[in-house]
Amino acid sequence: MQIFATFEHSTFLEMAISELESKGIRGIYALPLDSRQGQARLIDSLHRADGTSFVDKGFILAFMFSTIGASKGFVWAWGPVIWGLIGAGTGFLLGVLINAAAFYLKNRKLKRRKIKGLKSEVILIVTCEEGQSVLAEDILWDHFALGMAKTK
Amino acid sequence: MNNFRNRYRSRRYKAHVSLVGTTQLHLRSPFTIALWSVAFPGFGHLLLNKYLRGYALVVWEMFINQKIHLNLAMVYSFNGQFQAAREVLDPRFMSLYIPVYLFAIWDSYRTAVDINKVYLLAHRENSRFSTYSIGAFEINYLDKRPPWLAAVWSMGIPSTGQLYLHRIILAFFTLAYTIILIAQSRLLLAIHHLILGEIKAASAVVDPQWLMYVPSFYFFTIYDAYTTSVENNKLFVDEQRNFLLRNYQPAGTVIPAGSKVE
Repeated sequence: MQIFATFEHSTFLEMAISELESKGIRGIYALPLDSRQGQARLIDSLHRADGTSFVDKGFILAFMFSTIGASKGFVWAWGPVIWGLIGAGTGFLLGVLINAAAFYLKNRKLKRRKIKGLKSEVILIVTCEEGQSVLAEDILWDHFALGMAKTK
Repeated sequence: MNNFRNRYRSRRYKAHVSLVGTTQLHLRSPFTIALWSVAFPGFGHLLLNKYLRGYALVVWEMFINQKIHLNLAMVYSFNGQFQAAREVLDPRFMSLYIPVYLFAIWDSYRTAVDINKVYLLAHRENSRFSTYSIGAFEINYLDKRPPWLAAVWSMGIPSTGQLYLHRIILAFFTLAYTIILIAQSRLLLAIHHLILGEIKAASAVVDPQWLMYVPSFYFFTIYDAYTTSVENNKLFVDEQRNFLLRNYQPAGTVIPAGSKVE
């Protein structure tokens, strides 16, 4: 009997495997999946810091505008703290907008569906006796399997 | 005590999990690193996990800036008071500032380019590295941590984001700097006045020379916590993939294609 389950990468996955092993279930096969690639995505790029991230420009412009704003604030009416904060907010928004615009221009033609929420990153295949399958299934659900099917 | 002995004799490792922190190679935009060095000499190096160089440059920047009153000169210059800027700058040490400032920018750019190459080689070599460390003082392990949470902690008080990610020495350094900057610039006092609606008092109470360190420092700590957390998570995933591939794909496994049962 086989149980196919998908997981995200997490410590729970290793806990699930070690618990299955502690119950004497040995036929465990894991297959890490390659994630969908191909185009830069605005939201997904949040999870990258290799130069394509869209917070980079935001933070850099935030500190620049905030420094200038705080300086001007020593002369302008509202003072350095408020102008510093206004500068920071403006800079951050500007950075994000620049990236959003660049993203839009780049991806105008490529209209692909975005994947939201949890992603299946690993397929776990557990081979066990029929009597153990309920136990194995419980262990996998308890450790946050995303989806599961049994075959015979 | 690490869970790792260097008997694999790898040429390059892409990460090291030690008692006081996780050090990691990953791809970075050299331009972004250089811009952080423009913000504050040393920040580019801190982002590259080159901490000793980073600390040296950050401490130097603050020392020399206090000596020549560069921040005050900046405040005057941005407001068009160029004569006042001229007067406040101290020429005795002024020229000492420029070479080190430019060096910090150039060196962080160069190092980012180099580390990207080293990362690619280490990534292809895909050698095992220390992933867990336990000792008398600390425990460190790889884990997934939400980036936004690290950023939010750093927004609250710089250094907590770094502590959350177990960059202990950077966290300590950041906390010490935060306390010095807050105390000397009297920023919290100004915020206190602002909350009470006393805008004039708030502007009068802050010290411009010290306040001007705050924007770059504050946003740096948030940015650092955020990107470090992202890369930390990628490292966790990468390590777990390798673990699964090495241990859970026994040779000769045959998986019969049965039909689904409820």
